[in-house]
Amino acid sequence: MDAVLSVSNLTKSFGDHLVLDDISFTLKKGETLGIAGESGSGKTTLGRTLLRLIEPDSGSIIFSGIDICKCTASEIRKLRKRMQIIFQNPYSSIDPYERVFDVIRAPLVNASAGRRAEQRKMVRETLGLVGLPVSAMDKRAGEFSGGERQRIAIARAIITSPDLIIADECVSSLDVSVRAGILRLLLSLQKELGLSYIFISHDLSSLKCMSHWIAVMYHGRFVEIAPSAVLFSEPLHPYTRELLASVLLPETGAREALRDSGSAEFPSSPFSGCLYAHRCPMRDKCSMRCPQLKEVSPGHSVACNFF
Amino acid sequence: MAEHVLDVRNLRAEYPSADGAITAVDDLSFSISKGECLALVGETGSGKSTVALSILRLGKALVSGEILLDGENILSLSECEMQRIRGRKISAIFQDSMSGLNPVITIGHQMAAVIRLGNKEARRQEVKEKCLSFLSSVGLDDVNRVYSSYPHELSGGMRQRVMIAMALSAGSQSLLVADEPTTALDATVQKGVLALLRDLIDEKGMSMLLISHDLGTVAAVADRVLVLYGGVAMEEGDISLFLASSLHPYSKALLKAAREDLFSLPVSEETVPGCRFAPRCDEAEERCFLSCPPIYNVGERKVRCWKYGACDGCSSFCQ
Repeated sequence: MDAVLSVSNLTKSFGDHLVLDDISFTLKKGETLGIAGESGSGKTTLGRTLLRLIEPDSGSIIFSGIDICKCTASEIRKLRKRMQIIFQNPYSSIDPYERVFDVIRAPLVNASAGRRAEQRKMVRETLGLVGLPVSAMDKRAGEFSGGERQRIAIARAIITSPDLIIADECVSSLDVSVRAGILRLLLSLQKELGLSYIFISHDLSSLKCMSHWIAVMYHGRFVEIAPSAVLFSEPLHPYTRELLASVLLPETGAREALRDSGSAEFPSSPFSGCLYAHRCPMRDKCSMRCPQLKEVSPGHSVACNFF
Repeated sequence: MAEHVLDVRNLRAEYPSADGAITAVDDLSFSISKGECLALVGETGSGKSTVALSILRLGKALVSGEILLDGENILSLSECEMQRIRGRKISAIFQDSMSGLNPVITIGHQMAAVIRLGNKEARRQEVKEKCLSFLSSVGLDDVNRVYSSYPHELSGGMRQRVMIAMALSAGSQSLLVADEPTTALDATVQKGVLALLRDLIDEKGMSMLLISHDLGTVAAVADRVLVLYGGVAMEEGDISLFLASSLHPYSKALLKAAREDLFSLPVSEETVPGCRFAPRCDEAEERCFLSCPPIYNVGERKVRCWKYGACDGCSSFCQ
């Protein structure tokens, strides 16, 4: 299988704060890599760096054979058609005064694809795909609810039929009752068009149904990466276990689950050694030794001194 | 019968628009006792936030009906009197912490202003100590740094914790309105914040109106739940009964969507004269489309659905 995206040793820091620390992974065509982790772990920075919306410090990002770290601005512009992003917050990613037609066709305009009439046809089809009425086309984006605006954002991302879509918390703002509809839509688009996704989310249940692979990020590093099912059935890293344990289910025992939570302490300033050590129930000499990502079984890697 | 901290009667909220008023909340009545948490659940646009804003007398909706806070109808208060109540009797936490904080004032100064609302004579040192202790009580780590930071220097999760600390710091409250308080937070952090909110209810006897679309959050914190759909109450009752055997088809669908991966409700733009949920309901009958069902009592619970109007146990409706 050919890799759509192959990232090695990607590093980025803001000032002296290391946000992406030696990130490497490969994404195959038609597959989804889910990125889990809490806020501040670098998920969003990773997503944006992959599109070079943020310049990486070092490392390489090979997108279908082209190292996009070495591309010039105009080459990147051409590639943008093939790699799209769905942002987290549709209130800030879409101009509320713009007409929906103009919002959705913007990538086509950027790529100088098609005439206006053709674009109208494409927008109409895409609206149908994301579950919005065709009449939405001539309304202003501001007339729609948050959920509907996110559908508009998704329509904008898929209209150029890209190879790779980075979905940064794209269902976080949607109701549970419609969230599954969007996820199913993304899944069926993946099947039909062979799309690859980087699916960034803090919501483990959406990650579970979307991803083939899941990488768990903590303080800018991948601490565990495994096939989706394996990560849920045999989580190795203590942080992954903490994440899995923190899910609150709509069941009668939820109150008790809240009580027995070893509610997360909040990360203090980083120090040498394992960055998770101060929260880790298994820590030993971990504050001295910084663990590296190691493969423990085929496809399942973990960065923990215990493995 | 426990005293009601909040009593909402026949609340109706309308947003004026060019095509006539849009009713966001229609004839909604509920109450919250002391030390109780009522959760409002429902989808986007169901009117949850409008209810929260109406109780705070914020927002642009035209509100009618009665909102009794400790027996006083706050809808008849002047704006000046309302100022006295906000922050003292009612506090609020909103979802978007960035717009809740002033971006050009440090966290410490913003919190100090709130603390001074309750205690005008407090010395500066005293106020600072209070700030720091509230900040650490919400699980913030580096409180001195947070105290002197501007909102943009903190992560979303930290800002939300600051918001909660501010809501708590105002002093003795009757009611905390928490509109999606942990939606923007990480799961690991969310648990801690929810446990904190629940402690306030259990230990300090605070009452809380929790607004959330996340039924996991609701299950963990709430005592009772009120399901809103299109601005209308669909079901109201004890949380454990709701989770074990919800009555309304809409509640069932919401729970199913939360429990099962990839289940979603059908979407329909249709509006019918009858039950607002009918076009999306898989149990809808002909009468559901024609006339709106009243609220039926089922034991301690209330439900707005024709299914429960038949002769199954509620004798008062059988004639």
